[in-house]
Amino acid sequence: MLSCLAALLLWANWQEPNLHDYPAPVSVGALRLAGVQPGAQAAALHARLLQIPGITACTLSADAHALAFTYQPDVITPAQVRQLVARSGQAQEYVAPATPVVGPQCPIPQGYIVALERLRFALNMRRFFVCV
Amino acid sequence: MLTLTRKSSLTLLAASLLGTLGACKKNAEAPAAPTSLYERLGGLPAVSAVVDQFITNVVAETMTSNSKLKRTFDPLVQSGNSYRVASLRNHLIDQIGQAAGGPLVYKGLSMPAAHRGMNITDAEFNALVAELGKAMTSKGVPASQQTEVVNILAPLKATIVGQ
Repeated sequence: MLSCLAALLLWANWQEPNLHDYPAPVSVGALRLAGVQPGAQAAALHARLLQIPGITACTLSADAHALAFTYQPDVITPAQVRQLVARSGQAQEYVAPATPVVGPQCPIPQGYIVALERLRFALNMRRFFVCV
Repeated sequence: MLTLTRKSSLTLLAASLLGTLGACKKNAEAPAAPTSLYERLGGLPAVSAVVDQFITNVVAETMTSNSKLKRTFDPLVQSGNSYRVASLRNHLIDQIGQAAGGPLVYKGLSMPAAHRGMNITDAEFNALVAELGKAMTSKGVPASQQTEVVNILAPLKATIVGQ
């Protein structure tokens, strides 16, 4: 048991942490909008979106009816963003994303890899000696 | 004998403590070193904010009708695998952080290895740099610092284009 713990700590502390381990993880979402006029209306919607907790960045291209945003999945979901945008009173239309591209995939579910990385960062004591 | 060992250990400890204090004092007296670009940009919060903005810019660009980045980024964006996009973001944070003089190193693939088989063109690379510029502008990065970032990343072009 003790040797397992020691091995775990050794694995976690073998390397310095990564810079990307420090900020909260984000994911990307995209929506098609209709009815948003370029200029003031688009700027207002953009500003409103950036006020939503969990949205870290957002790009609105009214000409292309495109909205892309990065969000913290632990705080907000794309469905909630969709609802919030729809509630803003403008006419929005959402086009479902294209069919996911099927191709060679890593046999290990990505969620497991992310969980392992988080565990490693949590146990990595070297992070306390890095000033980011 | 034991007492002697203990005494010498204490002496060593005291000496090392004094040495550390001395080093701290020396550091405090040393003239302030010029801050790195990483620090001037605003550290990790600024780097991650720019990278997030850059990614949303790129995704929005791929949704336009005359997109220059669609060919390269559509497979990533439309893969439905949010971890792949997150992985790109993580690598960008690490790489820009290191290039700007940040405290940690990029441990991902080399640029030729990461872009092998993608056949990225000059136009695509330039469009990507333009989106990075827009992201830095929208996050309030001064023009001089934008130039520094671009100058740091410019040599990578040869290792990315045409791979």
